[in-house]
Amino acid sequence: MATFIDQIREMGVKQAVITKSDEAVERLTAGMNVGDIRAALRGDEPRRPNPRLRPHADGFWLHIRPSFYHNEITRVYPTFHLGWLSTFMFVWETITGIFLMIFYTPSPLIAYSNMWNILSNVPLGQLMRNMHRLGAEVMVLVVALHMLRTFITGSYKKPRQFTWATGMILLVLTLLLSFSGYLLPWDQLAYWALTVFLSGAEAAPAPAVVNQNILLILQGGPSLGAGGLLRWYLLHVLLMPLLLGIFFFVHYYKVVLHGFSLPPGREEIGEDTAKRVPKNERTYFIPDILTSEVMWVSLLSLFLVAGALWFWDAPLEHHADPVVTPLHVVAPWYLSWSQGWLKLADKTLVVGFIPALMVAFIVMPYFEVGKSRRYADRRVGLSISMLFIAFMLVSNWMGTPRFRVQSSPDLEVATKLLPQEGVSPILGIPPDYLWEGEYLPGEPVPDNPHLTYGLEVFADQMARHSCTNYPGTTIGGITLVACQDGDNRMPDPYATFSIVEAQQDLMRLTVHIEALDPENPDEYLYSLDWVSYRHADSNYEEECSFINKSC
Amino acid sequence: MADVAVDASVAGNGITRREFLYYIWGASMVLLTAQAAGVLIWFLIPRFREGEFGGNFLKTLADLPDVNAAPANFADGRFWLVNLDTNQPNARMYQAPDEPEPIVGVAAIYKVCTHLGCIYAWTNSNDRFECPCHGSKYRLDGRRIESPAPRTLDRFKVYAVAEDKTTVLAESPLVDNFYQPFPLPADTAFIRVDTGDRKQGPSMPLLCDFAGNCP
Repeated sequence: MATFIDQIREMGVKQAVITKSDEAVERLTAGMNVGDIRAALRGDEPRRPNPRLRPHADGFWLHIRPSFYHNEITRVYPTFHLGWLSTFMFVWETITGIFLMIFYTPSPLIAYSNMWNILSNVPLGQLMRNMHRLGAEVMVLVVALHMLRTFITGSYKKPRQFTWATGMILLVLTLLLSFSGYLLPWDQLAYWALTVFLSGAEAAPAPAVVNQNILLILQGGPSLGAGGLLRWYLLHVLLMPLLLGIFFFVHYYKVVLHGFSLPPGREEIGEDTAKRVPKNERTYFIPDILTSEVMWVSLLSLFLVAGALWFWDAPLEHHADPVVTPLHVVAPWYLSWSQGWLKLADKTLVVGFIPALMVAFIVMPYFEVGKSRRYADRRVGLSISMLFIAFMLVSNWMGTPRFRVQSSPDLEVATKLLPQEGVSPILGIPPDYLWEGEYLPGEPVPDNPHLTYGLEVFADQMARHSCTNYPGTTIGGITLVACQDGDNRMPDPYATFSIVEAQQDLMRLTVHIEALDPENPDEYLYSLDWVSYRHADSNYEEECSFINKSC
Repeated sequence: MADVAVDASVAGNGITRREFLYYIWGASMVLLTAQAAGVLIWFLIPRFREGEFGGNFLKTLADLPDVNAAPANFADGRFWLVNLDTNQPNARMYQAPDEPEPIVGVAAIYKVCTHLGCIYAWTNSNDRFECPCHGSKYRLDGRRIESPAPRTLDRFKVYAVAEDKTTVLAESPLVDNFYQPFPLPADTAFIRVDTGDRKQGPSMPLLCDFAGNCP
C-alpha cells in the first residue's frame, strides 16, 4: 500500500487528493466510492461485485435494513409508508425535544415562565415548540393509521403475531409519550388534564391500597405538584423514549425477519412468500428505496414546518392553578374517546376496560383461526373492525366540546364571550377598537366593525340561552322563543357589555346579565357580572388569525 | 469433568450436581430481582411529612354563610363551609325522601370532585355545585344530584371553638365513618377545620332520581 507521500510523488498533488477523497468516501459509505454513488444516482447497472450491497453487509446504519424489497411493496399501497414515517416522527420529536430541554427546567416555580421565554425570547423558540407539539399529534395519528392499515391488510396474521404485539406496545408508548409531555408547560390545560388522568388511575379495579400507592407514585405527592412535575418530566424525556427505542428495535427486527408482507391478493391462501423475492421482482434499497424514503420524510418535514409556522399554534393557557378548574376543560383529541366513555359508564369500568382492550388486541392474532389475508375471506373480521371504528368515532364525538357539560345559561354566555382560557370574538377585538362605554347585545357601533361583530355574537349567544314570556320580544334583532317549563333558559333577561379603562393600556371587560324570577318579581333568577381584563399588548387578535381558534 | 458429562448422558434424565447448582443460582437471582422490584416501589413512594397537605384553619363566625345560603369558599384550605337547615328548606337545601332526620348544622366540604379530581364550583343560578370536567352535580351539603360522581363529597372534621381559640365546645359527629353537620353551641366564637382529617362521602342514591329529572 502506497502512502499518501508516495501517491503525490507518483501522480501529483491534485490526482493524489482526488484518490484519497475517493478512498475516504468509500470508507464512510462502507463500500461505495464516488463513482459508485454517481452510477447509482444515474440509474446505471451496478458493477460486479455489486458495491450497493456492501453498506448493508459492512456498515452500521444499513445493517438492519434489507438490501432489497419486493416490487409490490414499494408503491404507496399497501404500506402507505406509515411505519417509516412513525420512525421518522420519533426522531423528529427527539431532536426538537432536546432543543426545548435546553430552555426548560421541570419546576413549578419556573416551568411556566420558561415557556414564555421560549415563546417570546428564544430565537425560533415558538417554531421549535410548535414543531414539537404538532409533531407529537402527527406521530399519534401516523402510528394509529399504521396500526389500522396493518389490521386491514391482515399483516398481523401468522407469522407476524409478535410484530403486532410489539406494535400495540409502541402505540401505547406513543400515546403515553404524547400525553406525558402535556404536563410540562405547567399551565391550566396541563394541570387538569393530568389530574383527571391520574384520578382515573386511582379508579382502577384493584384494591384501594394498590390504587392509592400507584396514585402517590405517579403524582409524586398528595396532590400534583413539584414532585409530580419532575416525575412526569423524567418519564417523558428518559424512561418512555428509552422503552420506545427498545421496542422499536424488537419490532423492526421482526419486520425484517419475516419480510414486509405482500399485498393480500398476491399470495396463496395460508402462504407467506414475503421472504422469497424472485430476482426479477426486486427493488434494491440503494438507490430506489433510500431516495423514496428521503422524499417521504422531506414531504412530512415540509408539512410540519409549514403547519408550525403558519397554520397551527401550540396552546398555552394560564399558569396552573390547583384550586380552580376552568369551565369546559377537554381532553386532547386522541383521548377524546375516553372522555366519551366516562360520560357513558362508571369510571372503574372504563379504567378497567382500557387495559383489557389492549390485552385483547395483543393476543388477538394468536387466537384467530382464519388463515387467509384476502379481504373477501375476512368479511366477519373486517365488519367487526368497521363496527369498532364506528364505535370509536362515536365515542370520540361524545368526548368533544360539542357534547360538553352544560352549566347555567348566564355562565354559558359569559364564558363564551370572555372565556377563562383561550380566545373569543370579544377578546379578539384589537385594543384600538375597544371603545369605553356600555353596549347592548347586537348594538351596531358606527366605524367599529370589530366591536359590532363582537356584540352580534353577544346577541346570538343571549338569544340561544334566553326565552320570553311576552311573544315577539327580541334581543339584538333575534326573536326569542317562548318559555317552557323546565328548559334551561333565562326568561326575558337584560344584558350589557361594558368596557372601562382600568389602568393605562388595561381594559376591564364586563358581561352583565340579569333576569327576574317571573313567579317572584322581587328576586333575581339570574344575576351575573363576569369580568375579564384585556391588555393592549396581549396578542389575542394574532391568536385569532390561526385556523384552530374560533373567533 | 468429562466423567460427569458421560454419566449424565448415560443416566438420561438424572439431574447432575452442576445442573442443580445452576437452578439454585437462577432461583436466587429471580428472588433478588423480585426483592429489588419491591424496594424500587418503596423507593418511588413520595416522602412528605404527615399533614404537609392540610392543617388547621381557624375561621370566625363572620366567615360562616347564612343558613342555606350559598357556601363560603376557602381556597387556602381547599374546602367550602356550609350552614345547613332542612327545617327551612329552599332551592339549595332540602330533605330528600330517603333522609328521615332533618339535616342541621355546619360542615366543611372538600373542594375536589369525587369523580376524577377536578375542582367543582358553586353555580349560583343553578343553586348547586357543578363540576366543569364531567358534569357531576351536588346539593349544598355535598350529596350527589347527578352522576358520574360515585359518592357524596368528602368532608373535613370541624370543631366549634370558644373565644380563647383553644377550648373545643363541639366537634363533627362521626356517623358511619362520615362527618355529619352539627349545630354550633351558643358561645362558639371560632370554627376550626382540620383538613388533615378527611372522611370519604358515602354512596347515596342520586337526588335527581327522586325529582325524576336525571339527564
